Amino acid sequence: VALIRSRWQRPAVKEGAQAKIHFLITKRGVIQELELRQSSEIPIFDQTALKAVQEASPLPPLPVGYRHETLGVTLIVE
Amino acid sequence: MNPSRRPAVFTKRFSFLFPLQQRVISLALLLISGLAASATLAQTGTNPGGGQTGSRDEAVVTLSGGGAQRIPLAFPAFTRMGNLDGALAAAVTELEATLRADLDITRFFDIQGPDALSVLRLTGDPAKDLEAYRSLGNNILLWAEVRQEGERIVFDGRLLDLQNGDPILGKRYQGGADVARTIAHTFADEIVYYLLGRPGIALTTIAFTSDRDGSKEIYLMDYDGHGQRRITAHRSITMSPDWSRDGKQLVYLSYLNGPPGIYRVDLATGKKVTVVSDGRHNFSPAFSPDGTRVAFSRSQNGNTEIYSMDLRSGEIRQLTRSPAIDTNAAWSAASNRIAFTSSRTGSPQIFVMEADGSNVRRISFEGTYNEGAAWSPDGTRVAYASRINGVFQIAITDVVTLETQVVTNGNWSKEEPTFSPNGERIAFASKGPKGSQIYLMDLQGQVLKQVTFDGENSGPSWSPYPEKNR
Repeated sequence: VALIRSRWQRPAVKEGAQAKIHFLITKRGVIQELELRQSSEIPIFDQTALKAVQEASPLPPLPVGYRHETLGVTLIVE
Repeated sequence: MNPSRRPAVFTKRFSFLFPLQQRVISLALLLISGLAASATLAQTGTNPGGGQTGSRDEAVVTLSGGGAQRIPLAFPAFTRMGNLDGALAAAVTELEATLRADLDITRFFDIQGPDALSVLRLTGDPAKDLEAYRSLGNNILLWAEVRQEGERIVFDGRLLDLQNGDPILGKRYQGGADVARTIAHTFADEIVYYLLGRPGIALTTIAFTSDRDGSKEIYLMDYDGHGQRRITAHRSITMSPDWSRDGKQLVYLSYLNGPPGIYRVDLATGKKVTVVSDGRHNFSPAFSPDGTRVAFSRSQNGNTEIYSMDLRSGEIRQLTRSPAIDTNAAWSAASNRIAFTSSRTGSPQIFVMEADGSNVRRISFEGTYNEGAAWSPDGTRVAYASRINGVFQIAITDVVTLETQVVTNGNWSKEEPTFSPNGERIAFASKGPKGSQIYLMDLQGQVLKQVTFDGENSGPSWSPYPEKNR
């Protein structure tokens, strides 16, 4: 996580901005049901984060032994 | 519209992209590989968002930190529809230059203007030129059309998402040639607010002292140095303006009745009233955050203390009690505390106290001469002039941690800092070969602009946001 953090270039928005994004990852790694659960109230912040998740699909498949059909992820972007 | 209800399909309208993608991929990999051990993982029987049943795992991951990135913005020349009369044509040229300068000085954007864009083959129809603008790395296009209607300019400004040409923001303003700069400032603030969620400072004002017309008087200027206008004519030494939080009044000192007294001016009417003029030396006034009191310094019997006065009743309270000089009160709108300069420990240093004079503590410990405190708008930091190797530089101290940074350097003294209302800029006076002049800088000490040129200028005080932005 530290590595990710060090590489993240945040848009130049005010401090304290936070958005919550939720999505499902299928066994095959496809992102579904992408939604903004809580807006940062800063369009550029929300939309770039959503867009990035959207374009990241498909992710690598979930591990073969994974027991459910999907993995739900809440991504808190701040 | 409540932004939190904005549906996810909105992404299709607004799709320019920062390189989050790689991060999300590595994040997901990390997430998946760490699945078994993840502390934030919780098994849920229902899907809280979609109503889908059937069990699965839920994970919560936080993505944060990192430095800010500038937003690439294509900003071609305004499109002028039809002919513009001479005066209006000049006003449109000024409007365009002002808008560019406003956006540039925010340092939030990497702007590609007409020169940078001249390498492109453009049709002039933004809908057909998206690919061309994108090819230079731009995410957003600022497209503006102006035309003349009678004696008025009609300005249509739009931001377009270059991914698909969809509009992000559209505004129309109209007015005579005299409001060209105001139109530019207003649109610049709209852009900053819409894209970045921050109030802009393009419509703010700086009060200052100048001797350009003979005696020292109080002047105002737009934040970018334009529209400099004198607001006092006491023909006496008049200086040290400080804004009321509502932006409607200034307090200042003047020698107009002999010894220095405190006065205030209503900026809408120009009406001036005496606050304190009692034959003693009263100076260095500062409005309280609620506008009901004014703190000031008073010298008598060789001692200077800070007082505060109720503007309605005239009741005066003594806030400091020391045999040393206590002066230069700065009243924080955020914390209601007063920062001031005191020589009680020997050399002048910055102290902070509550508004009633209690809980005095020193906050400057570096340098032998520190004076002229100004609060950051959020009340967390104090900027002041700190003498280093015989030259005053601007230092900023965190009032909680007392961490101090000297942000300027060089051979010219830099004094009298004042924060912009968004806390991101400081105006200050610098004495150098050009006399004393006022400059703007960022909090890292990078000078962005010289804003005065005529006469000797000092004592800047940056206004609050204009009413409509608050």
